[in-house]
Amino acid sequence: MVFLKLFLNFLIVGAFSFGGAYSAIPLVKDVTERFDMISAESIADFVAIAESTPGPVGVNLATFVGTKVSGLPGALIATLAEILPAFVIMLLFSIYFRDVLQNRKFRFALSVIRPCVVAIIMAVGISLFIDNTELYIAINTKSIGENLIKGLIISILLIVIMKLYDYIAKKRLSAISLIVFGAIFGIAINNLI
Amino acid sequence: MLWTLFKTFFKIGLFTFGGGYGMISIVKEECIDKKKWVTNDEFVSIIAIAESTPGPIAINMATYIGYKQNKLIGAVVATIGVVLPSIIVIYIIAKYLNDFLNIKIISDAFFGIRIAVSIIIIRTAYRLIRDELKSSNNKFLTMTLFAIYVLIVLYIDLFNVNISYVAIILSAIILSMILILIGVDKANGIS
Repeated sequence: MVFLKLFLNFLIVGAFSFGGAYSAIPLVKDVTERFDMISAESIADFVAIAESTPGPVGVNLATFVGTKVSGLPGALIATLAEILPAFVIMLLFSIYFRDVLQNRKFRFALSVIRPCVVAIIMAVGISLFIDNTELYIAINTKSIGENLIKGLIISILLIVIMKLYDYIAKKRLSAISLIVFGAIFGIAINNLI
Repeated sequence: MLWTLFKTFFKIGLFTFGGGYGMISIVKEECIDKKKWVTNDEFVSIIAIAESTPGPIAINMATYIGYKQNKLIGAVVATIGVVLPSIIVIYIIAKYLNDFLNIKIISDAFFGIRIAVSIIIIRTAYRLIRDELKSSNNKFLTMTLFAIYVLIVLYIDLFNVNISYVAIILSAIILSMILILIGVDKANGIS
């Protein structure tokens, strides 16, 4: 019965977490309260781990809670339930998208919506940068934090590498390489300074 | 084909850090720039739909691109590929590494990774809007919408205003309907 309970709970999480991972967190919190084996304090840890390991945060949370509740079968069932609503909705959309795209009004609507979506991506990138370097705190307290200096040094190093690679290899440095360089610089700077 | 699809989405799942927006950059490089599986316009449209429907963006992307390449079986294979790294990594952590984030070398590495991810997201948004402007028939409208929405979303993010991205996209949908009603679509012939 624990499997069915796990499945239904994560089906609800998957069906109601609109607009990215952050809306999934409170829903998962509700779920964990329904399972006795998970303590309230460990939720903050779940979220921190889900955010910093690879993969979608919602999927990571489902796998994590599923594993804690009943091992590998739990992990698989919770994950399946979490992704099922998005999968079904997108499948229906994929089947009919081409037909709708023939409509001129629909194409115009998308040309208005797209700049808005790209704006969200840009703003998310900027606010992540501000959060990670604690720039906002620095402005408010008018003092320069250690993470701000480290963050700026890493950013400058990354941009220099990006431009150098661009100049020498005549092509763009991939996102994956930048992540690997980020990890190396993160380790280097925290241990050398 | 199915194997390439699986491999590509496994790689995307493995290098997605910090939520769906980090993934957008890698999907763009792998599926648009390298393999040309979808167009830029299609890609941004999927993001809009992904944001307005429930579930992780990565799943929406994998399902759509997988379906386009190889129908239902493609959608299933791409989706399994994108979630498999999560299942493996999280299962191991949940089972064996209780204080994963307190391991010093890992938290040091993640500090750098988070900075890298934010730079990657900004770079991707820059390239997307540049391409959007290139193909737009009404560059003024595209640029104005982009600038206004960046300011709105930044305000919401930085001051913790309680408005979801769904509401933001909804406002763009309503705006597009108003523009169609007053005939802007005909006047400019945007395609």
